[in-house]
Amino acid sequence: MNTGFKRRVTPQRSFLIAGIAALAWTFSIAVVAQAGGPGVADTDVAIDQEIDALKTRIEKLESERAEERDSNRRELKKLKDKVARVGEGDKSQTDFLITGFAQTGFRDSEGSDGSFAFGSFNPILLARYRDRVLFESEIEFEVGENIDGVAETETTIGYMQVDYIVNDYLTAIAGRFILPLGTFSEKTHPAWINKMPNGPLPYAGHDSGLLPFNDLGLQARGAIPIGNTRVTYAAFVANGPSVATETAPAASTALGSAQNLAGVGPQLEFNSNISDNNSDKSFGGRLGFIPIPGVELGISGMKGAYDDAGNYDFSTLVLDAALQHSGFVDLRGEWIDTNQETDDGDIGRSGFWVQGAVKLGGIPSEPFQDALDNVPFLRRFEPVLRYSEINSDVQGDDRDQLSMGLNIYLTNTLLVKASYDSNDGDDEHGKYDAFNAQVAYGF
Amino acid sequence: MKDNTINKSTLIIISTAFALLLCAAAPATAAETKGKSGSALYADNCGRCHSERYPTERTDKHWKTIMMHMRVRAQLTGTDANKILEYLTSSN
Repeated sequence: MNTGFKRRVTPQRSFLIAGIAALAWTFSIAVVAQAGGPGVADTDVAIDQEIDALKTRIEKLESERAEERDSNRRELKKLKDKVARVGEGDKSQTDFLITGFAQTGFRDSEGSDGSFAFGSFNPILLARYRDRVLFESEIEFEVGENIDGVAETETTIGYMQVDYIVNDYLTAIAGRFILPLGTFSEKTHPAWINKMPNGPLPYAGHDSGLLPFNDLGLQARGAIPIGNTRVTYAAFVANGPSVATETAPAASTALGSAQNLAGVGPQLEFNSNISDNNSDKSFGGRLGFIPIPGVELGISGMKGAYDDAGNYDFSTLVLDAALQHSGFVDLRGEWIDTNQETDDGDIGRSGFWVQGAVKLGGIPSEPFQDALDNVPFLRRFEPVLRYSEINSDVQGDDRDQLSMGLNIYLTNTLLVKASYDSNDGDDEHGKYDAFNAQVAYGF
Repeated sequence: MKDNTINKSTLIIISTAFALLLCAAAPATAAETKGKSGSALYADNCGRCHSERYPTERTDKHWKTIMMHMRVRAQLTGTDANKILEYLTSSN
């Protein structure tokens, strides 16, 4: 049946339908292309590769972190073990080792020919028992001349003592110990520590030293922290000095010094009073104060009878000061006063020394260090200047000395030292210049 | 022969003044020295007399013996000596 209705298609409509169809076709192609065409596949591969790379990276980082964690754990365990060993004490109950120093050198002074010095070898023996007991001894071997001018080997005991650590603040000592008078004898006399080839005049190792070096007796020493400062102390009782005799002449080694009063009063022997020659012991000690790091001040002294009857005393008072700055400046000095009672009245002798040293490598000046870059070896140099003096009540016994020195540190404990001493004195015998060179090693 | 009287008096006065000056300076720097590490104590105390000794120069056992020797010689407290020993034996 014909409805009578016939749709009429105009040309414009035909174009419109064709346009819509073309647009739909194009769109469908675009959609299909976007959904599953060759370009989509490429993008997926790139994303997958990137994801894989990230996974690998994460796994690597996790692995590295795990290794680092394990390494830290191992290091921590090692440190804990060491701390535990320090806290509990080493399992071994004893230990023995040899440390010390040695030196040899050359000396040329006015009025005598230059000579190579034999030097000395000073082993320090340390024997520890557990955590509280230490046996220690410094033995000096050197070649000297006897009274006939014949060379002979000399062996000197610098100290031979047993230390007992009572507590954190107290150590008890028995034996032959270095006397705590000033700081030179106790702390800076070893050749690799002393910044000059020789000692200052009050410690000169001949017959002119003002102070005793060591003695036999008992000592208590330690330190007490007060706030953030520290007070150090040492108190001793010892045999004390005696009178030098032909069989026990005054010591004249680097480790021993004796007082020669130019024939006035008995000549004292400080270091060989093995059996006390009287019933009076010598007493003394040192009180030190460390107000800030690098600064130390001290006062020390001793007093004791020296004659057989115990009627006459020898006494001394020492003030010392030291300053170190940033590891390259070292200033120190001592003032020493002694008094010897005699039949004819008291004989007083005093002296002092001051010394300054600067390690060139430590000077914190950028331009200066830049200049040293051209000659790096100069960083090992340490110029030293020292002045020392001895004054006496005895006519003709005064002396002074100005020393200019240079140290070259080949290593931290091996150094070459050279100095030029200008000596002056009351008599012509004390006026001369001298050149000293020394190689010193601390081991 | 020289007259030592003036020299002695002068030296005593200078020493006393120096000591008082340092005493006055001590409280100002006190806070800086509290609770120091072993390495700081090593630098403060050992460097006061001698050049640096490297931790690798000795074994733990020997450092312990040397520290006992130096504790007596340098008059260190037990606490400070143990801290320095800990530093030396953890760095060798």
